[in-house]
Amino acid sequence: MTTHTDVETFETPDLEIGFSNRVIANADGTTIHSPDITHVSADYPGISLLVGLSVVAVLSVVILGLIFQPYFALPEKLEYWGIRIWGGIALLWCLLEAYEYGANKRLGYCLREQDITMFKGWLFCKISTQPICRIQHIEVKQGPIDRKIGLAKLHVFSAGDLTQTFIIPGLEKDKAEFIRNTILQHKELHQRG
Amino acid sequence: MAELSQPLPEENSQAQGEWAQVAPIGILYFIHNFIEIVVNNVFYMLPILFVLWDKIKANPWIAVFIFAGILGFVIGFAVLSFVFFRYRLFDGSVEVKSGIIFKKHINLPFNRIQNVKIEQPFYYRPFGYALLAFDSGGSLNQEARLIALRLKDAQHLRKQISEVATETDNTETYSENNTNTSHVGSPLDETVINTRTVGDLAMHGVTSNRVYLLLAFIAPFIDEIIEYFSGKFAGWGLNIQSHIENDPTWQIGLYMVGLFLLFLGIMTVLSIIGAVILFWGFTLSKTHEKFIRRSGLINRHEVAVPISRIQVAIMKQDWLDTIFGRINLRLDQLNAQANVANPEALANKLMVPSVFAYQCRDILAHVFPEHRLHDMPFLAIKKMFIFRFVLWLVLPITIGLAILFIYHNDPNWPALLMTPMVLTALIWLRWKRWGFAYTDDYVYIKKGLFGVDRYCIPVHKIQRVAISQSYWMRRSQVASIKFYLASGSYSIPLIDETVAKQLQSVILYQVESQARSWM
Repeated sequence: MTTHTDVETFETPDLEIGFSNRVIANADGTTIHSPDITHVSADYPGISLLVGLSVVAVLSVVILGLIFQPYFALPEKLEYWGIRIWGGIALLWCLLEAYEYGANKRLGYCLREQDITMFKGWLFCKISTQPICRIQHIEVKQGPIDRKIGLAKLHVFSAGDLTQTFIIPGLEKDKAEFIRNTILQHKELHQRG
Repeated sequence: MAELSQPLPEENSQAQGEWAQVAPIGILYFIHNFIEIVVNNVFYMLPILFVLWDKIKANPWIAVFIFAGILGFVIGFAVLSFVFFRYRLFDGSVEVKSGIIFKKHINLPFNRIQNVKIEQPFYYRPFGYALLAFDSGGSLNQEARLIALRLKDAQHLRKQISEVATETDNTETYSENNTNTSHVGSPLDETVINTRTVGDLAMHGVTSNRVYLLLAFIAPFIDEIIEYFSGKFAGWGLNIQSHIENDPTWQIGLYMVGLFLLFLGIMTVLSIIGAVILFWGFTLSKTHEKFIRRSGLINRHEVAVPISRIQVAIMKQDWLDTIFGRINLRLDQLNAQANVANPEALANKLMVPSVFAYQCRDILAHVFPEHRLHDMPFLAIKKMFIFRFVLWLVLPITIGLAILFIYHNDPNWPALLMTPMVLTALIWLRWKRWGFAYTDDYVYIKKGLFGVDRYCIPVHKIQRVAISQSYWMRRSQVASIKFYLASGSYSIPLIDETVAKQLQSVILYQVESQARSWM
């Protein structure tokens, strides 16, 4: 994990004079396609997996408890299918969580002078890049669990995205704040007011 | 109705800082609104009516009670909506409180207002009232409406707000329930760049009718409908059941085709009428910085859009359009995709129905001067597209069907062979339609199945880019790319990985180095 004390001076090749898009707070790397990925907190994949599995476990306890409680009998068919259908859902859910775990281990970002890029996914991966001059506003959010372990989510909003917001989860709080402040200091944002 | 026409108390025009009510005539607006919702959803209510029909016939009084009940409910709803409706202009923003059960509080700062629209429904006109609508351009439920103001108060307010919001370059639109446009001031530099004749509109009605939608809706009820009508016809001395059993197949086929054509004809006529009502007297004019669209037979709509706000141009062609060589041109603004479900959206969109290709090109040249949409050679996407859909769509369906056929020991196995062939042919057609092209300034996308839609996306308006790749795509060095704009998102699936990355670099460089405004 790198620290964000220094802005590296690495020029992106074949670009005009007066335009630079250096990686901020990373060792080196030039274009997005040979990027220097900063991974999110090493705690995040495990915690996320734990939360997901706990949800499955709690739901399982509730559903199985409902089926096997001694007070009243459920119709036999409901009992028979209830267990099997829930079993199927729980299994799929656990598999999804396992995939998410793998994907979260690879989750990372790269902040450059002009844009922020998120790398996510494992078997299905997605690289999204948000130019900073197009950012409408930016939020650092913390849920109750996040607060406990000192992580935060970074929400980046651009115009017109009602449904598909750019969110980087599992960042250390100070890192998220740093990214937010860096982006807020960007001159294009100030020009637009 | 007499008390509704009474003059409005004077303090309503001075709503500065204090919560004010609108004029009681606003009740009519709420009733109108409610009826509009009912009419728009009438398709969903037809089955209920259908089910209840026999009971209603047996006892007409039920119908009267139901009707009275509904009417009472609507009026009660409208009166309560009016009672709870409050607004104020305070601290540089418009605030509106409304809602009976679900309270809504909208706070819209003047400088975020993009559109100020004055509307006069026909029942407001004799009394000199108007409705003022503000559009924030942001999220959809942030649109504020002041339901019933006196026309001159509304105009005064609009002027006041426009003055506050001048630096944000806001649009003003005026729509009226009448063709009388005398007091819609036309700026001197306004030139009409396109008009549509009734013939064009009829063409639009023919090519873009909604028959298929209706058919899809009717399909689940087809059994009941046939049963119902065969009962009806038996009463008229026509026995469909016996016809179906006794007549030769070709004759039944002929009946079906005849019925279908009749149905199609009726729907087409309805569609033409709809198109003519919506687009009657269509003109598209241009001032130095705005497009103004005027149209409408009953409700006269005027929509003005600053050219710089247009995010993307879409040339839509249904399969009939491709035969007749017509194009429906749409110029989308903010959040256009989210708006699609709203029936009012079409009337408020900048759309030019059924133009010829050369007219389309001329209009587009005003918006995106250097565009090459008409003569840009499109590149194909990867054939992997076909493979992917055969694998994920055709194969499962075929296997499912095969299991069903074997299970029921059905002898109609040719049908089983036909399904995957037809589906694969459709997928091939879809692949054939896909295409893309790009220059430093524009990205072009072409897609469709029977029809074809062409998109022209200016690179400097792109908000975000994403490249996605599955494990298998990575192995064959293929990637999909998606562009997010203020109007919505647009994607190109399955192209060369290197091309996708180059395209991404071009876009990012253009957006970041120029930092041109997308508004």
